Amino acid sequence: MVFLKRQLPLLICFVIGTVTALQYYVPTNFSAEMSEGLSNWYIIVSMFAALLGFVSVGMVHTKKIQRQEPGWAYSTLVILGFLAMVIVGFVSGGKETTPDGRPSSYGWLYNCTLVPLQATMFAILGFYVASAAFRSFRAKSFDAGVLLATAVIVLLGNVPFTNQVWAGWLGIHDVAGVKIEMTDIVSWLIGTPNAAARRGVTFGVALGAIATSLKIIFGIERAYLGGGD
Amino acid sequence: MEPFFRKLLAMDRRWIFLCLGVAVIFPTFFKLNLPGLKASPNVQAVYDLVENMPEGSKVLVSFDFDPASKPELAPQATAVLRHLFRKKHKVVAMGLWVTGVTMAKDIVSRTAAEANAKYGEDYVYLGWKPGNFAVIENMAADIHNCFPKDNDGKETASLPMMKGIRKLSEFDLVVSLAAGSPGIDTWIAYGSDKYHFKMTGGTTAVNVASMAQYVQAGQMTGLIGAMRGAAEYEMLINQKGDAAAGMDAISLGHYLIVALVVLGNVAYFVTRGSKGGA
Amino acid sequence: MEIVGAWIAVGLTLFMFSFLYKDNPFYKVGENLYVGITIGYFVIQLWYKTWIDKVWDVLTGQAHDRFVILIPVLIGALLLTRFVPKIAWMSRWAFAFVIGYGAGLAIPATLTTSVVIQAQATAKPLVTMPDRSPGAAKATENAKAAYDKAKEGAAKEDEKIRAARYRYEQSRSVSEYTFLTAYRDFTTIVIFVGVFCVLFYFFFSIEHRGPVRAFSRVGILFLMIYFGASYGNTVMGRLSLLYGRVLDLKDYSRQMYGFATPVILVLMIAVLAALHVKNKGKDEGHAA
Repeated sequence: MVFLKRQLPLLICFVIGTVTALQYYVPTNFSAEMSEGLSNWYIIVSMFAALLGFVSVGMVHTKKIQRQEPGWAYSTLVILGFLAMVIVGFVSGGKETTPDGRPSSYGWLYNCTLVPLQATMFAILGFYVASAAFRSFRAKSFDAGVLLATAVIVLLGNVPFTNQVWAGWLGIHDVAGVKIEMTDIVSWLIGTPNAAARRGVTFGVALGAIATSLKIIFGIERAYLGGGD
Repeated sequence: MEPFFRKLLAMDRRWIFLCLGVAVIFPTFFKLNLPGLKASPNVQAVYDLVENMPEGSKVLVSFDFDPASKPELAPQATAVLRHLFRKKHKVVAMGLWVTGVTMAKDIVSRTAAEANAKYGEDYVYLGWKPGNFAVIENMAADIHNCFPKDNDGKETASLPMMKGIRKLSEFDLVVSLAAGSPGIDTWIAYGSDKYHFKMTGGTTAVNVASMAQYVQAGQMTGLIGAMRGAAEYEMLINQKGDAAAGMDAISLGHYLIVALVVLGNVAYFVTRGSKGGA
Repeated sequence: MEIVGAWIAVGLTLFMFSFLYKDNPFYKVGENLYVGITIGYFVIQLWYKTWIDKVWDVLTGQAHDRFVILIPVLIGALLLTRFVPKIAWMSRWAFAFVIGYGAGLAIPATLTTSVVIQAQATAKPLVTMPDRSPGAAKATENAKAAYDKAKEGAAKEDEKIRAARYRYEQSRSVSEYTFLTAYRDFTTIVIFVGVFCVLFYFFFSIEHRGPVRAFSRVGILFLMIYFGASYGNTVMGRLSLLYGRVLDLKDYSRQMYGFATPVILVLMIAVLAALHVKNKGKDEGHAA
């Protein structure tokens, strides 16, 4: 039983991980076929992984309704929203449009509920960014000053009208062929010092990810097994 | 001055919300048509890439975003698709973000109808599959196996255009319009760097700073950044759209935020050290 | 249906925006509906685009090896054993497959994309030697001729002449060591120094003193530029999203949609005001 519960998962992980990694370096027809098969399997398993999440959410809200916990009425909206979308989805056969190109009931519900809800949820952040600009964005030290100066240059440079003032009216275009219009300055900032800093971070993250992946494959990192025996 | 700035710093943040609301709403109703838009080198590079490909090139456009980023990426997608259809390239569209499927279909159908492109011959919309990077792996091996049917349930193999496209590496260009991951970085890591096809794309403003390293390393050609990038692309193809129309509102919003940063710092330095200061 | 859709869309948009005033029942309604609707949408996509396309059609097809598809279905189904405590341990097999495949694929992909190629792009020659070949000299000559022709008779430099001058400067920067060549070298050096110093900053195995501290300090400045650029761009992103919603609300305020936006806005303000009056005294205010 211990083998089935603890050792077999580690073995599966080791075999699948090793075979997948080696496929990159040994691109034969056989390994290509295996890669195709495994990726296809992964897509199907992903479907169940998503279901796992949905069932969990559903159970949380159902329990909340059953026990009439505070805010349980809102949980009914989760269930109602889910049922509404699923019913119209099946009625429309999963198609977003009818044969004549008009939105199906599934497409219609998507457009008038999911789109505005999701888009507005993120649009609200615009207001908080403005508030943060006034309340928290301070040049309290030299480092913070560099951050602030960069942000202000990018903010101003991202507005086309600034470039109109800079290049169109003040006539600042280049120095001996090196373009210094606002658009070019922002492009340089993002494409050079910003890219360099980001690359430094990328190296760290990548090496960490590789090390963690190796630890997972070789069974050193076993957090995914969860607790228990 | 000090009491004034202290009062200013303590004001309810909803006043700032109101100012921003006005700055964005005002130009939506009263057009300012602020001049100065100029194509940045990265947007020009994407345009040149599409422009200089031979007619009938096979292009994959991946919609890796959802309605949350629609105002930024939908204009990019519209402008790029208009350009692709105008150049008579063969377009295969798909997506890695599930909640963007319907929106992507709408954008593809609309731009194709404008260009009188025929479904199955000039363009195809495959829809979405779960699995992120596994979808790219699977498409690299066999697109027909990954997407046995298109988004509307037609057999992929029965579509005339798809008969000549079997693997990812057969595309002349892959365009990922991405709001995050899975997106450009996923396509580069699991797609173009491994299976060697040309890669370009567009992303949200938030992600521009992170994607710049791939452009600098030559892992992708050019990058359309945010709504401004979309407006630049619209300018290059001589067909103004939603992005160009929105630049006034975005511009006023930017100037307001710069003013807030300056005001906030002045208030900070004036009140610093004094009792009740920031 | 279009008008009903517009009213629903406007209503839900304003429900979400009402959070700017303060957390309130309208926002909670929108928030919870969003969760349910998104899951419902996802489930339909999974059913038709994955279960039907990739499993059901295969099983009911003619392929001789069609039952092989039951293996990933079985693996996936094992994930659901999580909900049955007695056999929950069986889900580990499925997790092992998912994690193993992801890790196996990530190792070479990350190594190539994020380490090898990125390192190659950093370790470039820091000084460019001019190309003294006749071809390069000829290209410069041609570009110069084109530039001279462009400015012929023109009183002042316009966009066209400037473009010709840029092309000439570009060509010249290849055949000679010009200011533009020096600028490109400077850019290469900045990238190299930036990456090097940022890596030093993240290197915690030795104490940051002396030269290490100096490198680390420069690394911090590069990181500050990265954060600053990210913030600047984030502002643009958020404003674009806000503009998108404003545009939709403006669109729906037309007569053809029954003035959905102004009507719902007024109604919501009235309800929120009524709630405010009702809760007056209980509220602690909405300070920053």
